[in-house]
Amino acid sequence: MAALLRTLATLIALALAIGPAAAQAPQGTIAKIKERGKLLAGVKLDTPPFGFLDEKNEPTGFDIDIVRKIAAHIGVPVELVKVTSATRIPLLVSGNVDLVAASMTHTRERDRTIDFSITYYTGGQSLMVPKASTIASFKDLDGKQVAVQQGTTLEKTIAAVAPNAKIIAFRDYNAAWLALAQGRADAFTGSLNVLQGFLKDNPNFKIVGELFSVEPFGIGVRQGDSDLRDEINFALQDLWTSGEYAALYRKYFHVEPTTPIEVWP
Amino acid sequence: MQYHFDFAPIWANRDLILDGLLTTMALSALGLILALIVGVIVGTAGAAQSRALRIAAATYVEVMRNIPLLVHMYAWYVGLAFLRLPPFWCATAALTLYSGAYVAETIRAGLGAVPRGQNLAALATGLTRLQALRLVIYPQALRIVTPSLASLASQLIKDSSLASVITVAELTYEASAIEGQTFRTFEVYITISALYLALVTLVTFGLMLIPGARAQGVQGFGDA
Repeated sequence: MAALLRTLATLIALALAIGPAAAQAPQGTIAKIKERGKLLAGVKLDTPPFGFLDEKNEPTGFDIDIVRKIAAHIGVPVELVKVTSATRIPLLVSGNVDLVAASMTHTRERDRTIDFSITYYTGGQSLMVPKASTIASFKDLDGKQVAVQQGTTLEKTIAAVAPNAKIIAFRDYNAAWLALAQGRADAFTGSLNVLQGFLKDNPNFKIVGELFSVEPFGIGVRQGDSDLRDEINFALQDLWTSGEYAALYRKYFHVEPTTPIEVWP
Repeated sequence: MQYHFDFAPIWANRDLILDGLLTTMALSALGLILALIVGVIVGTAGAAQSRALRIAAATYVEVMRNIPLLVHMYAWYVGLAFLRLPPFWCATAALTLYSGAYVAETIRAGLGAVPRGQNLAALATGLTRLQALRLVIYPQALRIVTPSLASLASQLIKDSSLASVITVAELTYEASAIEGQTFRTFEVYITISALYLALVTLVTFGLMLIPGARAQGVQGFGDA
């Protein structure tokens, strides 16, 4: 019993230790970035076309180019820090990264934990099935197995629009895609742009039905860090006005931007 | 700025956490029982007089033990996808075969720790080989290895968290799902850590209550 209490005490001490680390003042994040001489940006490298490794194993993607532009706007180089779903919030809160740009959909629930920039990309959810499948939209999913990435708004949305579907959630897009490719799942749902990425190399599948959700992506900063958030918002708006945003959008999605970034006068 | 701990979103998702805990318990219990069965069979073979049996047992142990459990999980779920085994059974199979190897080594060591004279004496009383094993050797060997088995049991419960990668909706899987919706990473992982801690502690203590588990002195007679 004493051992148990000791272990519990250790755990609590560990939890409290996060407190002081998290207590860095948000005022002057920009000053701190400038003093440090670089912007620490948390990005994902397993979600093409937002963040992935190119043929030369260099990080690339829409999110990554956006943070490079934000860093340029602040006037420092960027250092990319690879994050996963389990590490992005702890790394942000503890100050190991200044921001997280990881194809995150901005939701009210998530907004209670961290702050988000204005929407820098608007995605929509779609459905991918084998070419021979009779599934034509999310309405045909009753009793079917649908693969999705876990812990995402995509998972929540598909559960809401297809309540009788059997949802199997995977750590990442690749595992969910594999489930469809191996026939473990009847359908695979995700952001349209990501599905298009998978479709490109796999002609035996098709994307069906209309988009059934709106996914506003935001860049995450620490709760209350309005200093950095302002700077990110201004940078995004400048990218839109200068046309650089549209160029990036074309580069990664091969179409013109569908939803404009709001620009404040 | 401070990070404000807020467990309310975790409490709001208590149904998921409870479901996950029950799945973890079911998976661990099943894995433990099956691993014990595999371990007793392979461990006995490993302590047998027959060279062929010993080699077969050693091969099993080395192969299963030296492949990471995560790979075991993927092997059943992805590698053998054509079998269409439900994820829960893939995880059970992976846990059983992997942990069974560790149980086998423990059992083999336990059998080896029973003085030779015990077996010879049992045979001299007219018991058959199997009777001697069952009535004389095993009761002593199991007592010797119970603490090690309890430690393997706690290992197995924690190992069951790897089933989350093949979509078994156990505790770690549900934690990851809740994390994704709420971004309350610290709170959710602190919560499930406490639950794992409680579960493992209870099971380990429970196993040590097996009569004689704490008595280590059984080999104090016979062999000189």
